[in-house]
Amino acid sequence: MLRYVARRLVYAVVTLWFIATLTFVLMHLVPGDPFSSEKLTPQIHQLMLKKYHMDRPLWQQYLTYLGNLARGDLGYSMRQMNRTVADMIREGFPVSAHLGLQALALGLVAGLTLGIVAALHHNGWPDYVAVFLALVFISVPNFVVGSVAQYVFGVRLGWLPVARWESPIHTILPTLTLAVSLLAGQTRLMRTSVLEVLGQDYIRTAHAKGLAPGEVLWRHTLRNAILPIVTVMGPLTAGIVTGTFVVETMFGIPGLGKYYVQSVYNRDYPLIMGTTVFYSVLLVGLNLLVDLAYTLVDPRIRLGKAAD
Amino acid sequence: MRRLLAVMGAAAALLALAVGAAAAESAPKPVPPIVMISDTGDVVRTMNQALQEMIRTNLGLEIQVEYMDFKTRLERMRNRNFAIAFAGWGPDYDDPMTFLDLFVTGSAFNDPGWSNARYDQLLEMAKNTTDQERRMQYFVEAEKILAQEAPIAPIYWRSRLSLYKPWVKGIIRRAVGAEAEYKWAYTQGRPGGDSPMYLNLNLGEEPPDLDPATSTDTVSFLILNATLEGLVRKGPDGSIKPGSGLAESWTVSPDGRVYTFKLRRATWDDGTPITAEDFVYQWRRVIDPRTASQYQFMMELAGIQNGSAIARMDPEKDDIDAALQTFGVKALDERTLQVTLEKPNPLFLELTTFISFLPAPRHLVQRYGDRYASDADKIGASGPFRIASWTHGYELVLEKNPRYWDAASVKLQRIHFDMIQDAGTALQLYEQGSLDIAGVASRFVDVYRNHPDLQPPWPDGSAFYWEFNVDHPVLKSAKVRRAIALAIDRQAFAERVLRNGSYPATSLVPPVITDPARGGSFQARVGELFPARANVQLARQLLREGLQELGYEVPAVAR
Repeated sequence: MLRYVARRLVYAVVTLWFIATLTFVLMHLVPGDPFSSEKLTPQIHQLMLKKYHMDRPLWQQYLTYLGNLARGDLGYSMRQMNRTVADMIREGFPVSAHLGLQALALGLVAGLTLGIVAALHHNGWPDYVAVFLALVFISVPNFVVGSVAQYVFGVRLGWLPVARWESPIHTILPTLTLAVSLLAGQTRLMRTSVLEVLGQDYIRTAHAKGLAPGEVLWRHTLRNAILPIVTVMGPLTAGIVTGTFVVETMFGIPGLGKYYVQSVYNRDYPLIMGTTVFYSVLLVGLNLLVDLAYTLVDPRIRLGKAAD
Repeated sequence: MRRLLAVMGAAAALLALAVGAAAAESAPKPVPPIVMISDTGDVVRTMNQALQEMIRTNLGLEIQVEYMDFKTRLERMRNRNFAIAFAGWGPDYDDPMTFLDLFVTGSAFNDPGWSNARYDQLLEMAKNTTDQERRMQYFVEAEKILAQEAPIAPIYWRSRLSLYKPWVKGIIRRAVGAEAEYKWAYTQGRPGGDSPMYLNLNLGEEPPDLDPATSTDTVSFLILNATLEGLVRKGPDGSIKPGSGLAESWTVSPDGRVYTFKLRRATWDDGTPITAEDFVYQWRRVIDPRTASQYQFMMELAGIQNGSAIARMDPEKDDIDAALQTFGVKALDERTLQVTLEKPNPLFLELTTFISFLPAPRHLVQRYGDRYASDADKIGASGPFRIASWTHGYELVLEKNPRYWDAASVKLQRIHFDMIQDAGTALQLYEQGSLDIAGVASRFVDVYRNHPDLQPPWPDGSAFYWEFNVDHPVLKSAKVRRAIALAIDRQAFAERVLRNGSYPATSLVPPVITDPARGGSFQARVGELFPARANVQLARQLLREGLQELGYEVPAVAR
């Protein structure tokens, strides 16, 4: 087990290096740079490049960047002058994570429940309702759900704040907006998975040997059906806790999500690198956790055994 | 036999070449593709489609549009890799020069690559005289050349729409400099009472740079104008008067070159006295090439002695610190600032109201270095307001600066700024009552057209135009460029496509730029050089002539 984890950590570092390198190359291939703007003269442009050491050859900049990265220094933003990328992530991430985890919990609980109910009543009305809801929520984009919610609950009824991030009350509408699309995905996934497990021989066996239906559901059906969900949890969690551009912009939430979009638009190189690397670390880390979690959920999986 | 065939083949090929060449001389070539580069966005797309259709219908020319993000378009423009570019420009100071010098030969912003000796000469003459009447006459002639040769086709002068709650009063909007002046703002009749007096506004985004030496964007300008005081502060009517800012009074030498400003007794919000040295320090920072200030050119434009020489220095080779000692800004004593210009400059006082000329607190800039203005506790104020709190990317709260020299005139106790990016959300917050002002973006114009809070359209000073690459095989003809410019129905475009009170641009310099000689707008003196309504007949005639001269096929509608 420990050897497995150690090996995975080495892979993780290689993966991160690869992602950082690829991002570095790609972002320099895009036309323009952090300073390009309507009123910039070539003379000042040169001075700025010099000031930020961007007049050096690209490979030198790359090595400098990797060196700084290894020391955990993500540098200064080139759009929000005088702010460090580390500060921006430190301030934005807790907000995004708060919103993301809240939405994830809600979406997961509701989605899994709905999926299970739908599968157990296959082709019955609860199934149709669940499938219909999932279809609607997957098709309607976030910003539509969000603005309708803002208008109805905020402006019309006046029950909830339209936007801003101040108190638990403020988190309700963005959480719901974000949870709705999660819910839809999870419902469909869980429904399919449960249906598949229900068709397996061991379920028939379990029923045949006289286990109580509740026992069959918990110990045999759900425990097996949950595996695909566990698989998607890694990327899903990494994606959602690092923020979503649409929901955060729409509800005026000071999270990380907007940086992923704006940094590219602004060619804010250090912020592009910082947010990408941060996301990658989370993704790689969570995927490792998921793989470890398999051993808990599925006793058939013994990590590292096959290779040892 | 084989050899014979080869010879015959070669002869045939030669014949074909000759025939082809003759045909090329007589038969006109098809017009090559004309590609316009443009930013992306739903509204821009609609705008482009309308313009494409006008050119298609009126001239039979097909304009293709290539969409890209802002910085890519900018790069393509600067590299002159386009046929037509949809571009815009906003004024930096209240003078036609801020637009007209874009198109002088060799300007970094002359994307069309156009060059006209008389035009260059006119602008040079305008720089070398203080006689405003003559300057304006030069500018009018320059506008006429621009219209005749049409390296650009002005399309519209932008206006913006916004909703104000009825209790919002006294905000002054400006097309030049900071977009809004809050010094004299107040509320009257706010439900729940006007005491304490406050405003809830939306900045739209985090101010990217609150160091006046390097700041370049409109959001930062709003905050800087509210928190910093310069030599003069423009009055509600736009006037520049002694005593309106930190300069109590000033004298100008008989040759118009030396300004001596007497500063009033005033302090930064932390109680440190504001001195002439603060101005010297700031102005040196802006001209210093090591600062790499984008608005260094404003300091050069002011014509301060040795400014241009210092600006051109190489930070690695030249002794800039020594050179800065020769820069024409001196503190004669704590409260006397002397500025020496290379030659008299009628724009000088106007320029000192620009953000780059506002002094930042020297003691704080020196203490925090690169981190100055990165947080609410690392920034100073000398203006009507100070930053009370700042949550990055979320909100910024200004409070009345009790140490402001004219605190008695400031009625607002607090301005709360959100940083809501989404225009739709801002409008919902306005409806819910938690914002006092909201902008109405183009896509919401129809919804709010009859709203009682809708303010008259506000011309923001920017001009939008097509730039023509004069090296394009067809657009190198001034007649073709002028034809396209004439085929655009600017009025229909403004009224039916933009629908936000923007004006058809009948010349380059927008009406917000004033005419110091006659008063009123410079544009009034210029008149209609590009017709508001398309002049289809003349456009087709010019297109026909232009294309025939170049040997291109004339589209059916123009034959």
